[in-house]
Amino acid sequence: MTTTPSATASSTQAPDAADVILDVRDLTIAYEVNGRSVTAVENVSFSIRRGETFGLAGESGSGKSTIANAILKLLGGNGRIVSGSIRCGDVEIESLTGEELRAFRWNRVSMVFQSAMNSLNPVMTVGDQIIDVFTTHRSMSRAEARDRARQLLELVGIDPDRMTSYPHQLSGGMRQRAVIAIALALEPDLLIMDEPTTALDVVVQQEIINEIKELQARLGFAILFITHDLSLMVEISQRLGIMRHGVLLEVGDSAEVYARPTHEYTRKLIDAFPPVTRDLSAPAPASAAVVDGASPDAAADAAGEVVVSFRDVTKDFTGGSMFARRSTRAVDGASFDLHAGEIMALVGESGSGKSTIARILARLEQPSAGRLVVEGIDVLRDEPRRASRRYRNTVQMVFQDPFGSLNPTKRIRHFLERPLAIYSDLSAAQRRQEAVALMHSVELDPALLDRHPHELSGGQRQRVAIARALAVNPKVILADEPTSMLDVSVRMGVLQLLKRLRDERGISILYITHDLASARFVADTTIVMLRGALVEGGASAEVMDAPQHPYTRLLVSAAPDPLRRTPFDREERARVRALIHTITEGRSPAQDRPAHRFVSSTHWYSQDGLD
Amino acid sequence: MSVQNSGSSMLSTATTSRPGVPVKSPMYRDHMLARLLRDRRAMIGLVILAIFVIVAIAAPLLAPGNPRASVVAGSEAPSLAHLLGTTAKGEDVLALLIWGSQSSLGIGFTVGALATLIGLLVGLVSAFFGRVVDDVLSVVTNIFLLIPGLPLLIILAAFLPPGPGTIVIVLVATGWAGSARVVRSQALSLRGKDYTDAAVVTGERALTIMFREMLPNMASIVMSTFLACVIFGIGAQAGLEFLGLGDVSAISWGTNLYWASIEGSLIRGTWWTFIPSGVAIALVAFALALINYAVDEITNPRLAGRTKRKDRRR
Repeated sequence: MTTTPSATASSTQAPDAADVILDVRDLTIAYEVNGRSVTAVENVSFSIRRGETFGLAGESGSGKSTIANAILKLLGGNGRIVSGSIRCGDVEIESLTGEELRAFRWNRVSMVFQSAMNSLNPVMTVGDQIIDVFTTHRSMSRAEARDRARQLLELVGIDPDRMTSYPHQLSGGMRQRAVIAIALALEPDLLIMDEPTTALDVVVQQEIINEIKELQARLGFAILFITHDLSLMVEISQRLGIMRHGVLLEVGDSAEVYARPTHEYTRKLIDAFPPVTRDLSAPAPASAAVVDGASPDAAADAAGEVVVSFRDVTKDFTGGSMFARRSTRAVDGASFDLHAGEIMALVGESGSGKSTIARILARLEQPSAGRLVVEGIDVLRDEPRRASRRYRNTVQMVFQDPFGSLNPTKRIRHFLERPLAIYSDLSAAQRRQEAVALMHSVELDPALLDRHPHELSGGQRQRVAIARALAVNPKVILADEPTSMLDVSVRMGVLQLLKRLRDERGISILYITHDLASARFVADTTIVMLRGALVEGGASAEVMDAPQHPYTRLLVSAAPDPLRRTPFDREERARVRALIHTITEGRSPAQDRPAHRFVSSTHWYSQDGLD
Repeated sequence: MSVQNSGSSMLSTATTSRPGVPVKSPMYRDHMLARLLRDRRAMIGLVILAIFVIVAIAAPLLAPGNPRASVVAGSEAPSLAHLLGTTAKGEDVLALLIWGSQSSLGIGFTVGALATLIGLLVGLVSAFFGRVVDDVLSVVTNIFLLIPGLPLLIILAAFLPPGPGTIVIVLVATGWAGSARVVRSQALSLRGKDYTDAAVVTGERALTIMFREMLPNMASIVMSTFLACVIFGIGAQAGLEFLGLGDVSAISWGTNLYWASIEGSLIRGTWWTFIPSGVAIALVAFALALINYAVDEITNPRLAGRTKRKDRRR
């Protein structure tokens, strides 16, 4: 199914009253916070037609989830609808109470919640949870319900024999499918999906999105799809609305809004999620083109000097009980070189071991085998137990979660002045000056120095974390998904900051991410990690435009792309998955692997398991 | 490039709070005292405790002279001359009660402080270093937890020379393990936090991380552990002394009870010789428990939220 025919159909149709599933009119919602009334949603109007996918995009706090909750009357004790109406067909939702409301929920409108993976009951089997829906809402015998549950699981692409599995025995993607199955059990007219794939890897995300589209074509329900990822939203929805600060900024045909945003903010959101493959027909953003031109030069300049040499490093985690030791190989013979002034992206799915590499480099984790040379220090030989201050002075790290990486009891000043106190002979007054300078270099107001972390926004905190890393004047910064917890509109700013630091100070950066588009934007070179081993590497543009390894191809093809031309092919995906499975299962020990095959002087891929 | 633009616009958006998102402000030490003073239960607890502390300090003024001196011939019921009556030996019960608070509070708080300190050290070191250190310290802690406390108390107290020092040693030895356990589990969760790793990467020394990065985040749990240890200290001291394992010539609420029992107060029905000391112990424990609850609620926003919601419903 492609989006174009239905999109044009719905936009040309006059809004027929009978056709409208959900009609939101002049909706204003306020929350009571500490006795004050805070408006979360202001004067929002939109409607969703039968069988249509309507997207609501916006950052956290923009009020999109509040609208979703209001539709199901789930606003909680302190939220209330101040004015306006929500009509679902002929039902005014505000007037529903008690038994009517119970019958309305799930029968007419159901919801896949944001943390859907955790919304399954851990002590009940998946099958029982679906059966519950049937026996609660329909007068159905258990045997009948069981049959329906099996059908339903099959429908969402789960083996019906997994009925008796508990949620923890299913992968994240399967749990998500199970939640969707529960939401669709009563064949509602409208399915609300609140960031349904945010916690999933791109490949699984694409499969689930596709699954939803197919189900929608078969069952004809409408979807209210909520996300902050505009690329994804444009791909899945026919019409969308952009929200900010509780106000609906613009509503329109998805492709139209994407191509010609009327609002400055929409432009910003679109820029925050650049598609990974650059379509030739689309004009490339000017800034990115400059960067692309500069990257190979930067890499070439630096090629002589290796700052970090990571050789055949393996890390095993042992776990389990005293009697049943289990060992998991997180990193499996990984080797790479990071050059001076290079930004290298390390991409891979969650669990591929990329964060472990960062933690090994930060000396927070001890590798099981291998060699690690940083600035001439053979780290594991010279400093086997713990890192010297000289090492810490060379390698610094920026953590993923800026809400967790700053000690909540300290002031911002502490984070910048402590490293200075440790590594320099500056007097207290000089340290204060230096802290101000550091704040300037990460584009923050020095007045924030005396604040506590909770008084800062996520983007500001991440900048503080970067300034902390800069304070010791390091040669290498490890950035572990530094933007994944940040709101879309500040992501670009942080990435650009990293780039500028490289340009101005010649710092080498290992940028760890699962987002290929941002890797392409920020990194000179990209290496791809599959289950602990590196499978492809080279200049970012080359790797993403001409991926060689099947896994890289899969990642590139699965990234959300509003301009996608090739439709999703289920059989092809299954074939690729099987191939990748054989590659990881039949992986040879690190020392026996065949040499990399080079496509160009820098672009290589692993031939292990490929024939 | 648009670096400058994005930077400045970010500043402006961040300073205006977004609608619908209540600004989360976790509780910190500096807020705690002020909030304690506003909490009704904590206030009652603090007032009771303050009265006892003042009485203990002002004992020489409130009950001048030797409290062991016989002021009358024998046991007398409360009267205007002797507000709480006299013991069989003719001592003034009020004077004994006032002087006894010195020893009881002194030893209670000393035990509380020392047991908390040891527990803190063991728990922090155990959680921070992990591996072998943690294994060894956990085994030691568990052994001390498993040893039945009272028999150990009795044996230790019987072998060591009697005196306040012995009591403190015995009570600290049996009391620290519980707080070590509590501190360790809290410290373990802090050890897993990114900011602890960040401090390691910054190059902070282990002691600095433990005491300057982790400890401030445990203020509430240290506080409540300390209060619980004080309650334990006062109660266990009274218990030991009641059994005659303390220095029976010293004056404390425990020895008051011991003498009341030896002199057969229960048989003779001279209730005024044992009830005042018993009530004093109970009151102090009650006051500490009140403060403890309040600290708990102030530092755990979820508990505070529950009471707030209840208030609104009313």
